[in-house]
Amino acid sequence: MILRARIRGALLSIAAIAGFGSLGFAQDTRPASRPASRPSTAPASRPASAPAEKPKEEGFVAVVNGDVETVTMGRLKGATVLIKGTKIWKVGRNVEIPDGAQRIDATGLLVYPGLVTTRAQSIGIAGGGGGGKLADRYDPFGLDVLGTLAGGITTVFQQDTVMKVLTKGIDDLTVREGATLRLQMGSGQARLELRERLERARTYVMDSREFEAKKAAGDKEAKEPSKDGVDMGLVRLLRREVPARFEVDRAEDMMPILDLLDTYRFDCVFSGCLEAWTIPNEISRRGVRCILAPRRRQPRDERREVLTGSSPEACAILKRAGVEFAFYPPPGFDGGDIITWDGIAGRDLQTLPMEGAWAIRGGLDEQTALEAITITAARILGVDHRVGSIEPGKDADLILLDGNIFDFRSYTQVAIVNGAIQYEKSKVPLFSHIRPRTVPVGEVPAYPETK
Amino acid sequence: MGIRPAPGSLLRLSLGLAAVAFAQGPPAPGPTPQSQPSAAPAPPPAPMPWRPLPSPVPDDAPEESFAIHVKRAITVSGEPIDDATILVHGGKIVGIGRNVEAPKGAKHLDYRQLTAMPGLVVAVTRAGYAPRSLPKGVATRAKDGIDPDADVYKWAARAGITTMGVVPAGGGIVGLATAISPRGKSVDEMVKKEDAYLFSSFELGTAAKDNFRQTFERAKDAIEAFEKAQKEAASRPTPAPGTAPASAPAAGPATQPAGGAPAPAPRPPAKLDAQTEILASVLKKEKKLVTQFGGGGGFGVGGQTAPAPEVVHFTDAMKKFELDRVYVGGANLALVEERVSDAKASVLMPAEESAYEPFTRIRLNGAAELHAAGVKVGFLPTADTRDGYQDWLHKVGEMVRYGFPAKDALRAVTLTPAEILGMGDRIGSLAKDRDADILFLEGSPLDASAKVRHVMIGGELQEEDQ
Repeated sequence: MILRARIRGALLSIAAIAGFGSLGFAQDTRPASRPASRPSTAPASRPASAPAEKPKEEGFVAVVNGDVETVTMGRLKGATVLIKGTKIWKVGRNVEIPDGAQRIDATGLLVYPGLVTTRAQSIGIAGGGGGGKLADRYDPFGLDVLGTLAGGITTVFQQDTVMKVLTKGIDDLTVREGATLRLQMGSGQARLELRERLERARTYVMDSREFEAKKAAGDKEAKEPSKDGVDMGLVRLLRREVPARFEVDRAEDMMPILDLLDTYRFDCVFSGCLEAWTIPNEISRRGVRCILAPRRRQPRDERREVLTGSSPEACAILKRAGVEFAFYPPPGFDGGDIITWDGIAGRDLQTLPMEGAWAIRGGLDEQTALEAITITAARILGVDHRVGSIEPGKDADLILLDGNIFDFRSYTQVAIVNGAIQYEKSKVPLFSHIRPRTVPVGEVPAYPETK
Repeated sequence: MGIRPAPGSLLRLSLGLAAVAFAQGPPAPGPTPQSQPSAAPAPPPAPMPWRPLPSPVPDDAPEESFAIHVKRAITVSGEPIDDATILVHGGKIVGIGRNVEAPKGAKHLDYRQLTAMPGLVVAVTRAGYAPRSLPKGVATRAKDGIDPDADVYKWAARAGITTMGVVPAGGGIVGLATAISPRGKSVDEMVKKEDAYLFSSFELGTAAKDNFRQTFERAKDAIEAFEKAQKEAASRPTPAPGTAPASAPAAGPATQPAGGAPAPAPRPPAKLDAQTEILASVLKKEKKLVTQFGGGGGFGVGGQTAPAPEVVHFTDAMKKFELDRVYVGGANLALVEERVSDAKASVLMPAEESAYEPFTRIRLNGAAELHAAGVKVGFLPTADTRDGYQDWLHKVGEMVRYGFPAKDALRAVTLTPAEILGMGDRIGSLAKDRDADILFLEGSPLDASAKVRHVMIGGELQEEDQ
């Protein structure tokens, strides 16, 4: 305590001289049981001129004093996430907060990266079809947008587009278009045709590679291969610019695809994956990634010798085999992957973390379960450089929870997407009345009281 | 009802003026636009339900002026005047105030029981638009499709609507609106202002966004190219015909014609094409771009968020362009009030409380919210029907009851829509040199008991048909 008092005294004097001190006092708002996180030498070692040099820049938002679950760099207790614009600027316990930064007090809250769901249908999409870009029909005021954020989800994958969930506007809405190439294995003739198309695409890829090499070598005679009858989508696939996505549940449907992968090497994602746990090594060997909903249930087919149906241990088994997987919420009551406000509570996007909770119950470790709704999901969609973890340089998509994410009691209190608060539970009449927090969440003054 | 018998002179006056309006042929050039045509005897007017009966007053009667005494004149542009006298001459208000002196010979109308206010202005309507010609894209003119005999105009005039901005029907960038008086035998007689603004309608989707953005981008490019060509043409010395420069033949390249004359420079186009010209006037802010939002709708419970997402996407598509914008839509425009006020757009919305705070049962007075945010708000009737027009003022009264400031409510149905039509200096207020479009009401206009007693359009008192 003496040490603490001395630090505080030193800080006070600095503050008195230079009108600076918000950093130091942040410590005082923390529970006494927690050890002082700042090394005692830090304030003293800072040169006296530092406060004067401190840039007063606009556009900073600081989420202070929360327990930050970075996913990729462990959990930082009582840390600050400093946001500049739409990106995370700094993360850590010794982050200097610029003057004029908006502060969001996360005391007593857990800070997670915004969740990424790998399957949805039409979150925030207004109006019917009509073609064009999905983002051009986005309605930031829709009810499902609100519900999705309430479930902690800030990035959705729908209709092959990865997009953010925003309530304030449409800037930086689309993260990636054409994130996967949906393929169907089909049967009989269709299956043969797929092989033929792949073969033509492969020939084209080889020929064009040869052509490029000749051209680079200065061969002017080289002839560009014809694109006639070549499926350019499959060419992208074979060049590994985009993964294929198959909607498969049964192991017997997965096997022919895995066969195909032995011939044509491309990135592949299985979506559904009810029986993936029965052939984990087959899947793992080909590097196929899975999108699944651990809570889906299907009884075993007793007439068959092989393993069938769902298993609560599925995720643990896949993990042991080295398969990468991400979760999606099971279809809602009306069959669509949408927010439902009626029907069976919990079977919708609002309870995505419960998929993880169920997988943990089946033996999966918590870290992998967390990754399955954040960074692994982002990696499968090819957007892990933007979302899925709390790291400097990534998009500032954070959710502030009042408990562990896998606890069914936890609520998303605040959702920040693209650096702006998009959702606050206390301000949304739909949710504000459910177990309201006694401590209001929100901005705290730049200079906390010094009592 | 009809005109009170007391001012017998009034009848003669109004009929006289009506007869003036009936005179055939273009108005003779005279000292004022309202000047009397020649004394040629007018042919007997065709029997029309809405026109006065043949006048006992000779058509060549000298132009009459008259003084209307009212209990209260709500000027809209200024403070209300109690016990006011309004002087009207030649279809214009020539004086208004407490102690204005009526000119000699003016007819006096005793409306001391009534309140006067400017005639109502509907800035956007499709009422009476029955196109007889094919749409011409941006260059479509509402004027070409107006049916002067439409019943809806009678209803409008009776409800006190004296100016209507008629727009062509269609989607996308629809065409030009025409401001008309609801009274007139022919379209030409009704037209108050042609090409009042450019009307458009926007819905969600890539197609609409691209259409708006590309149309204006192309217009901008075309205008720039045109202006550049004009400038070059102006700076290039034009050799007099027949006097080719002496050096030209010697230095002339082989491609030149044998005659040795210099190749003629490409002639710049004389003028922009009709569509680009219209878009140019919008880009120069000479005309407003009025955009109707709606349709589509949101998602989830009730889907009541329209037209908020539409505005978000429209703002995104049109952020490059500085335009005078007017947004037409429902109360949910309040959800995007920041975008509306950032774009300095005016707003037109039906005078009805149709929206809720998102996902609640709390009523949202979008007009009041927008007004409080500094947006200029005008009202529209809830429907282009007899009831829609007759209840309009009453509905505006309801908006006031639910929070719209009373002092600005009448402006929102007169001067604000007049400004949107680009006619703020002609109509929408009771002031000197404004058109004599005046309503005379029993009671205060926004009261439930208020009743329109007389309507004057262009200095002409309207008679009710029975």
